[in-house]
Amino acid sequence: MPDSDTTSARTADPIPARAGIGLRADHYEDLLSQLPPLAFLEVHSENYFGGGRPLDFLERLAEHYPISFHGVGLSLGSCDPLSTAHLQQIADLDARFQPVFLSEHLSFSSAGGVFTHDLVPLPYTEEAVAHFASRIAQVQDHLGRRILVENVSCYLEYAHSSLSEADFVAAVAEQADCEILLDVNNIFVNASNHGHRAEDFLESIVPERVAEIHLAGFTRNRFTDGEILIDTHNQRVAPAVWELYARTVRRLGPRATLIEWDTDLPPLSVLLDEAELANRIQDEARALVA
Amino acid sequence: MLSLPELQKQLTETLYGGEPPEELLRRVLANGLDPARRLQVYRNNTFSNLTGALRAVYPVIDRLVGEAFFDEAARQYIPKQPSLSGNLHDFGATFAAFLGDYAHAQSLPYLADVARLEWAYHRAFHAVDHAPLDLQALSQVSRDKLDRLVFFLHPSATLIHSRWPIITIWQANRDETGNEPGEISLDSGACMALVIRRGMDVFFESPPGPEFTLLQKIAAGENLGAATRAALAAGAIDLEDVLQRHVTCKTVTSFTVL
Repeated sequence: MPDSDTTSARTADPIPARAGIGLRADHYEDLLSQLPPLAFLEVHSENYFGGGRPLDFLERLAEHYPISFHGVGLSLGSCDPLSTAHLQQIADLDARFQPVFLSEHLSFSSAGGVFTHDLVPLPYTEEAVAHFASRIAQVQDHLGRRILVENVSCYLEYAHSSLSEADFVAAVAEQADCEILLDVNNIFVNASNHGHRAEDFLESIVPERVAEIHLAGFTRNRFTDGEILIDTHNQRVAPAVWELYARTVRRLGPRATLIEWDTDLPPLSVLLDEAELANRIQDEARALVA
Repeated sequence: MLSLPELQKQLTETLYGGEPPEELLRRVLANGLDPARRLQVYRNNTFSNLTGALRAVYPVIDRLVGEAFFDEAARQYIPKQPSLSGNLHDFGATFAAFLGDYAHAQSLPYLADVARLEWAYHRAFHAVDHAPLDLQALSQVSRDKLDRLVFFLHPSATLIHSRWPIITIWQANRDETGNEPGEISLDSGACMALVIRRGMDVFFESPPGPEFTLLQKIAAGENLGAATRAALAAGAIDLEDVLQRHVTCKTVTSFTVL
């Protein structure tokens, strides 16, 4: 029987605090034939709204790995009404796969019914905290489970924000009573883009709220008038982000950690290599505590 | 004071290529980089994501017109027909119609129909699964009600009638060896295509005229009586055999009696 503990975000049994990878179609066959040791596989929910080959592969892989659903299209922070059709599709996947995690982003991607498919931040205000809290409550009520919300990469900050990003994320999680998907690469990217200290972010987060960590590679875009780090998910995790990850797990304790890679996909072995590095860093953190 | 809904609306319009309003620019901190530049980063992401989505759905169009032409068509299409769904796989349904009207594509009259075929392929790939037709229930329909049977096709099925040989064009341009496709005669005839997913794979089938008409009428929601009359008007057809075959191979997956 699945764990029915209502304080848990999981409807399936909890998984060990080890590394998993993002599942992309290019790797379906290799994963099924090799079945490498991974704590979980994470997919974009929207890629499995239909049937056919994607769903078939996911069903087969779900026999071997816990599955996590990461939504990119619900537009949680939008002021438009929440799409009940989209939410129901997620609910159907939830019922079918009993995913270990179900997550969305702390951003909006639509207004007036038009979708940018980008993860745009909201101002860090009490108003936006309350807005997110009520939207997350709607989602959690519909699904009958807690979800995780992810801190996004930001290429702008608003002049009228009254909270730091970390305090904002922490306040949303408290008010909504949801869990946090802590994207360590995004913390690094935002600290660099806006001149903050990544450590300050970590200190504002209540460790117990964090159920999962994301790691990915970024790209440095240089302009004549400045530079900006873009969260591109198209390369290995940067050394500075590994260092921040090590500090994160020392502070929070080990957590299920995902290697995300969405474009310019490398062979599966590269993802497994990155996952192994995450496991090693977690083991080092465990050894420090022991 | 810019309200949260108004802020989101202005940002969304800006990401779709609009000029950022002054009051929006004032809301964005410079902090080492011009606010307009920051908005441009998001706009580039939006256009690059949406162009990438179109290219993934329309690889044959991309190959037929080339990268630069495709990028420019996408750049013009995106603000005209913005995405209206949180599921990116829904984006691009109207690209064929756009290409049909696109001034720079007038020398390629078959382009829009090839795009229709690619959209049908994409929809078939992502369509939901469906159980086979309930034969027992069908056998219980009394003979006098047969004309009022309304069949439904598998959710992945699309019927396309084109005056161009679009399946041949598609196949020649999906050659993964990288070889340049050979010459295709555009006069080689009209094409009637049934695009459907059978099992895990998407197929292009070319049913004969009367059979295509039958399926087309069924797809349009007409009852068996009307569909049959239209099919017979199009030519000779063994109706019982054709229907049975499409039930067995799950082209037709459900029915109702109206």
